Amino acid sequence: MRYLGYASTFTLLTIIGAATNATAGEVNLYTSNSEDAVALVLDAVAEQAPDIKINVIGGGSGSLLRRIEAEQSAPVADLFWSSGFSTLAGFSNLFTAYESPEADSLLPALQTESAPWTGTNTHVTVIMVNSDVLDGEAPQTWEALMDKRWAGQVTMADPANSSSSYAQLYGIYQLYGEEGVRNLADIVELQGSTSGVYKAVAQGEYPLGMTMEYAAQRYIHGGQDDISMIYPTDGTFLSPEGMALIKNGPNSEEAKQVYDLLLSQNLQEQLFDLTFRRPSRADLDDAIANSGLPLMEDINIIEVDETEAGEQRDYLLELWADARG
Amino acid sequence: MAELILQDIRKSYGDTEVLKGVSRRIADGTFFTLLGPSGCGKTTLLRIIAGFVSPTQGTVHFGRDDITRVLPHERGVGMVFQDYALFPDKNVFDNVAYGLRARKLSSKEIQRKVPEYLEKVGLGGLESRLPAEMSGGQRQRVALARALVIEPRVLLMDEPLSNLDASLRVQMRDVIRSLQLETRTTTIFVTHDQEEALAMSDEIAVMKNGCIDQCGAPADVYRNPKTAYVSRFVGSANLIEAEFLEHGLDGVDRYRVQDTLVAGRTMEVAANGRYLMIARPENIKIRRKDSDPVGGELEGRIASFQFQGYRTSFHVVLKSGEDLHVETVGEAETSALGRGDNVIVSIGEKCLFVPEASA
Amino acid sequence: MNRFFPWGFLSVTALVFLAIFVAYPILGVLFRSFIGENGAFSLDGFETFLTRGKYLEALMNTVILGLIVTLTCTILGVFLAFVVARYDIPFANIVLLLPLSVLIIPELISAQSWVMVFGNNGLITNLFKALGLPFPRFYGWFGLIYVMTLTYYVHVFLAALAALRGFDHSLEEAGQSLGTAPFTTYFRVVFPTILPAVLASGLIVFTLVIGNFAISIALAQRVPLLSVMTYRSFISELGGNPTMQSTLATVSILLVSGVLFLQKRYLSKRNYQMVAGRSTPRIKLRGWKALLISGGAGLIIVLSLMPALVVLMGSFTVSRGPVMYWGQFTLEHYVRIWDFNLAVIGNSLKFASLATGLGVCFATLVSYLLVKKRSVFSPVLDYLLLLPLTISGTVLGIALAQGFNSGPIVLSGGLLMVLAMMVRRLPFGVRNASSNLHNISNSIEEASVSLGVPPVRTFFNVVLPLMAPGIAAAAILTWVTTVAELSASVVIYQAGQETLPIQIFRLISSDLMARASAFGVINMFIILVPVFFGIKVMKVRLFSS
Repeated sequence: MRYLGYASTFTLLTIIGAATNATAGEVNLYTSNSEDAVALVLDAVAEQAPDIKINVIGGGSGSLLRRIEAEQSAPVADLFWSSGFSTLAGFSNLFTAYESPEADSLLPALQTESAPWTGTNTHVTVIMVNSDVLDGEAPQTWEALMDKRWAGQVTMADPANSSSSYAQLYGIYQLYGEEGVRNLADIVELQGSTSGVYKAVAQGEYPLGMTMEYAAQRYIHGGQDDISMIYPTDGTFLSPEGMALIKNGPNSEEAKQVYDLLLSQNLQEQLFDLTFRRPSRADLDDAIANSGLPLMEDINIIEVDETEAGEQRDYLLELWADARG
Repeated sequence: MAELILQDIRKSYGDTEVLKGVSRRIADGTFFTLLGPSGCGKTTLLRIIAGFVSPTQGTVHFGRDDITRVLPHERGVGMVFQDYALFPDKNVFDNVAYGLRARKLSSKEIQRKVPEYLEKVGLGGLESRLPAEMSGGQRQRVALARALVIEPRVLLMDEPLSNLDASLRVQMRDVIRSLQLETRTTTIFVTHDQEEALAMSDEIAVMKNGCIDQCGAPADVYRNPKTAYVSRFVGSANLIEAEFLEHGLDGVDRYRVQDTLVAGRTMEVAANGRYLMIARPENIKIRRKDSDPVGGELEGRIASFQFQGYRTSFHVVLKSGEDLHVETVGEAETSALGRGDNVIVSIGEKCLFVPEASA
Repeated sequence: MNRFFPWGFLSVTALVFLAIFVAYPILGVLFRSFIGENGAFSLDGFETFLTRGKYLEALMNTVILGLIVTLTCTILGVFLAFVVARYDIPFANIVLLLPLSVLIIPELISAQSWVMVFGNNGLITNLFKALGLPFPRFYGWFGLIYVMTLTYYVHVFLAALAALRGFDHSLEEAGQSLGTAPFTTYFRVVFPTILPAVLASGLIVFTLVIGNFAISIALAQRVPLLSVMTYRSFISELGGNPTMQSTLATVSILLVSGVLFLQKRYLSKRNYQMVAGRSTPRIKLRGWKALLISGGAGLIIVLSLMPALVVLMGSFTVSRGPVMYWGQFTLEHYVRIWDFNLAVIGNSLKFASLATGLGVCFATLVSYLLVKKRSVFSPVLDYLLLLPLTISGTVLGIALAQGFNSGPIVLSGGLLMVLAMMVRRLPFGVRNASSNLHNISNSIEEASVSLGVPPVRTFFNVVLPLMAPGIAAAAILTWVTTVAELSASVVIYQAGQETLPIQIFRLISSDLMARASAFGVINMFIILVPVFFGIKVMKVRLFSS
């Protein structure tokens, strides 16, 4: 008799639960960002769109994108956040364009009119320095870096494996052409992954590394005094990252709300404070200044045509492989 | 309980023929022993009856049922193994009850039968012991109870006493035989020990190289071996070359053995005319040589002897160079004989003659 | 009589399973190494391997590393075994726990913790710096050899110890009575007889080193290694042509097969069986010798167990981003896991339980078939079971991922992960499960059958209970390795299926050591509980083989 009681209560609760769920919105967020970054997003959503429940699937951006691709015929994901623009380009058929009202506040480089994604943050390529193992003065330009005296003391990620590293290579190619590529190939030692670069420099394996601003800043902010970074004065490159709305996602309306939220000033500032990745919004100079990082206008940025970069990829990688021998 | 009929059982493994056509009808309730050295096929035959081996040819019947192709767990045989094969993780009760449970007997029935059979084997009260806590003899009794409690049609025993020490073996012979007589179960007993075979069996089948050389009651096989092989396997025998001379009137033929004439029964005619004389050690008389040998007597010298209390065993080397094993019971004249003495051995009339080829 | 059912049928089923999930993927990898860019037959992969970049260097480094580590492990393992077998040292009991510690501490965590101690920001390194002393660079050869030695010496230790313990002391006394002094006797009589066992375990160490993933990727840095390159090829070739990864995987398979072949040819013949004899009495040590030897053994013990302690400490250490503040403590890393990452723990438990459950059932069945119910299929089964031994986790992962992401059978990540974990462990599982089988005489089964119980039920009633200790050992060892499995799962997993080791790997890659340590502690805990339970409560003997 007891069991009947339990069973009916259970059934009742399930029905109530299902009913409640039916009125609440859900968004399936596929994200490669760290948990604490995601936690910020969840908090923001809880505050500003309490009806929406976010289901988070975490993972490397590559594996997430492949999963979205595999699920094409019956999409599960609503929103993907985030990956480099060039990577996103390879999967653009999975996305649907959305003109967010927040898009006007973004830096022009990070607005993408023709593409079905929007920039959420950008990386800045820097030279990360470990003064503990550095012999002499740190190079202030790419040209100085490619001097033979630094042979074997500079590390970068393998451009074939890392999209940000490819962006760096392409940047050098734009600045110094084929000769620049060869000079770089002569002095640099490769890491298998993007993270390997900043780890190696932080560990003192190399005094110099080509990596991204946020990575070096993590150590500087964390209190490792021997770490510093240089913004090459002959010009450095951006590596923008963005999010995309999944085509035919199950909850596209709610997903758009989250999309907007990810571009909002408050959340972008919080994310910047946490991750040191430059926000895509143009109106957060105060926050940037407070963190100790230079303002965008104070850095010499070389404009890079992403499409060109993509088209030249095979050629450039061939050249690189040849230069490496 | 059933009559067991083997018809032309053959078994080959590849090119090797292990059983070469064994046929036998074994009456219900018989204690039937398969006796032979290792490799003679006795265990294979037993396992064919059990169902663990399929014969290459031939049939096995329990009564009227042809069970040649029946799976072993459906044959209703009881089996006792050389290593007892008790289930180590189960106690005595559960071991004995195992077959009954498989037959889905009611727990009341099981509670009745298990102690009954444990009593029969003399292990009453030991139901909760584990096999590891028991001696070899006790374990074998449990195995016996386990096999008998299911009231099998045939009881198969594969050298069950080989792992026991000598005195225990003798004791267990009695236990097994008494139980078998009491339950009147048809039993097939495999052994290489002729003493066991002689002591326990109703019938013995002496096997050699996949065939039954001779089959019969113990006394018959002992007293009337048809082949030299049987004579040596059941009891011991001296085998000496003999030359056929002539047939006798009363079935007693005459032979020349070395340089003397001996008379005795011919068990079988030799195709090539060559014979061996079988003289059992206990049938040979020995005395100090104080005269020349007459008919039926041979001359020799004592090479060594062993006094064994109630009997004495002599190793005599005949003048011809052959060895003779002689046994005397009691003291008599032989107590005075010693190593190196010249003696006369007397063959007597209990010797038999068999083809030389039957060794 | 239908003699095919049930055992023949089951043998075939097992065979088919192994053929599909072991042979087919491996053959697939071998096959694809000969397919070029455009899908046609080509030797481009091998050409690239032989001419370009660092591939050959990686191969050479791998072999050299294997040889060096095998040597150091042999020295260390034999020394420790000798000390334990011969002398009455104070911490003999702890020494016997050593194999366990290696079992419980996954390689990745071990490497990670040594980095935390000896790396540039490491505890000891900072200590030295504070004292003004230089400390050698840990990454590269030093770190690799050091950590791998401490991880793998246990194999040689166990083999040498077993051989020494089984050694009949009468032989030594015979030697001495024939005129050789004790030490010489030892050299001439004892050592040669334990040599085969030691060499055999040395070969195992060699294959483990060349297939090693976790330690290699954590510490190799400037040293190109085959296993790391294979993994990187897989990552970079994702969605593209799997030529290089297949080529590298093929090279790896050939290397290990070669080693196994050598072992079969030259070693398995010379296994000396000791007839049960008297074991050597233990000598009590005195004076400086005692100190030296006890000290040495003690040091080895401490070093073996240190990673666990370091990781434990690290998990409670304050960190700002990647920078660790040793000496300041916090619970935040664990709180974080509670808040965000319970799913990871759930994944680990889920996959490992499935893999262990399925793996142990399969291993039990196969071991029974191979020991008790041999048939015409048995040699093939034996051979197929050897295959997982020839491949490293990375290669297996690649093989399975390639084999089943398209083609006649398509399987998703979760099932594939379970399969990979299960298959890797199979040869050992079979060996564990069958350890008792040889002691179970055939007559016990025949007794049961003759009493009326059909063969399959006989297996469950009679054989299985007796196999239980071996099966328990198989279950525990399988659990331990599947919970710690990284190299295959990191290649196969799909988003949302991260296990603890994968999560740790990702955190280490981001240089978030403290957070990784917290996961590491949880990982070790999950491993430890069943082991502890098994040994203390169920009295399972894990290392009887």
